[in-house]
Amino acid sequence: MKKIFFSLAALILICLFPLSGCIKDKCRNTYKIYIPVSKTLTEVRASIKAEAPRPLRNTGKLYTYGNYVLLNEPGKGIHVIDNSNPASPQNIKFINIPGTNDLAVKDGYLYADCFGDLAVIDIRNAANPVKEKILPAVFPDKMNYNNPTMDPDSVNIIVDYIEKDTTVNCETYNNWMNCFQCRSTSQGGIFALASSLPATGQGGSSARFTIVNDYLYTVSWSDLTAFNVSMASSPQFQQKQTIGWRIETIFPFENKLFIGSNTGMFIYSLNDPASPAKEGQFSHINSCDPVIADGQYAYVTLRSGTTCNNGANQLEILNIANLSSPALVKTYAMNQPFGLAKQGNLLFICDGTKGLKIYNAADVSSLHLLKSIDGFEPMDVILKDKIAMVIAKDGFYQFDFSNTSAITLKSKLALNK
Amino acid sequence: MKQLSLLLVLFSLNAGAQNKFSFHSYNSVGLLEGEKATSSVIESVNGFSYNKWFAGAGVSLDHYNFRTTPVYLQLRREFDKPFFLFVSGGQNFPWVKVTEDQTWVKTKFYPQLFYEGGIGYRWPVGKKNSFLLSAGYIQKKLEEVKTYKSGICIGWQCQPETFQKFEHRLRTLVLKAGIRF
Repeated sequence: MKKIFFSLAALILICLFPLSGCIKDKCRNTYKIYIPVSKTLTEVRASIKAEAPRPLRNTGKLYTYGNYVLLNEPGKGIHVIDNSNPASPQNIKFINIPGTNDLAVKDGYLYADCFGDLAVIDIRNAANPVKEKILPAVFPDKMNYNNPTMDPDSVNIIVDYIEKDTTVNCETYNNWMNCFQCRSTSQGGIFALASSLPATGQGGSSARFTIVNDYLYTVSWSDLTAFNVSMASSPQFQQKQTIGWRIETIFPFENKLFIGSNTGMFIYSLNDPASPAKEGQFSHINSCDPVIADGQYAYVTLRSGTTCNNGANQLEILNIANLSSPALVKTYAMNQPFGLAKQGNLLFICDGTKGLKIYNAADVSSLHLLKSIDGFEPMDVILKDKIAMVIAKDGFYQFDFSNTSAITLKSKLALNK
Repeated sequence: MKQLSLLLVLFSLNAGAQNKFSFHSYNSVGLLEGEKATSSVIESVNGFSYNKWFAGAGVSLDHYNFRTTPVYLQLRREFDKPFFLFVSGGQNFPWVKVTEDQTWVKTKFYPQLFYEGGIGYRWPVGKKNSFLLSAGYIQKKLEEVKTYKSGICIGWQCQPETFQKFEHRLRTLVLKAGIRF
């Protein structure tokens, strides 16, 4: 028995030896590689123009101007939407502006960033936007070239990426890049000429461009920049100042600018509009902070899950009676709040996967939830008349809140990826 | 190739005369030898035999590279000299403990196919039981998906998630000792 046992064991071991080559493991790695598409700065500037309307591929900043809604598509351009009838918004034009993420409007002129440049577009006839001028190299942190006087034909800018699935052996070094969305064109569109255009439009709480009287104020990663737009067709650079770090948003109220950042909320006075002066600050935990104000209180949303260092998810209400020292009134726990807006006593909060929440904010110490609309992920909201215009991950929504007991969806422009 | 050491499982009863259609349970522990490491496996296969054939369902705990629990169907053929051949096929389910921080990288595993084939020797112990020794070859597959969250946002606009998908094909030689009852 013993002899058979050990003979068999030896036989098995001998048989297994040649098979050692069959035990080589294999691993395949599949990932997306993003191949950059470059253009010269000259080509980029020349490509700023109005085109036929395109389907919405991605949602960015929202801006209202008269009967129009200007919807930024990050990195690509701006959709012009005729919202004369909020129940049936019409996508009428696309303004191609590579590298754009922010916008503002004054006296029929649209201001948008184009990488490091400021583009000025005449939209007095929204059906036929026309490029008016370009202020070159005014946003240095968005430029990939150090010398603003460089020949634009010799400056190459990555304007797009081509996605490609790639499969390699796991041992192979791989590198890939992220990119913002990009897509193609479409046909169609109707247009209407607005009979009278308001002086300025309205941006949401996550705006980084804002207009106050004759000035355009923009925030970048660390700077506050002022442009004189008293002649709307020809902005003049006034001043740039470093105000902090990881600046997120800018919101005008009365004669002040409320600036949200990852390290807190800053309040700047516009007594000298060409040179805003810091008046107060509220520092708190590190999160991404849209902020709005109603004169007595400032409302700030804080959000985790980003490089804002995983702060809490909450709404903070601050008493701004003493602007040099705003005081925290109350904190409300939220899911993952983004943009917000207020009209009268109604406070709208875009609360991530928990949808849009509408509160009665008559008593800021005791917000009362009136309605929670879920089923979508809202990012920012603008209130105009009794319509809540909401930009969400999957499209552009409009809700009628004329009856707060029965807030209803009026229209939706869905993304078409 | 590393030296394989033999494991012991020794208690049994003689198999005696084989029923035409009867229930059996095969339970083994084994050593796995692969390219990356030497590891271990435990298995249990339960089913019915008819004449010289056995068919049953099995489950293992396989620790090679990633801890997985293959679930499979097995077919055995026994011969007059008490050798046997077996093949198994099924699904390899992950039971992997993810140790890296999941804040910015989410790791998820997905089941893939499992195969095994081998030859063995059976010593009857008592009327019904047997001691088993077998050698074989295992291939198990596993899919691993890592989703990377950028976290780089301006306002609420964040860079999209990216991912990597790894398809692992792991092969080992196996030496098992067990009992059948």
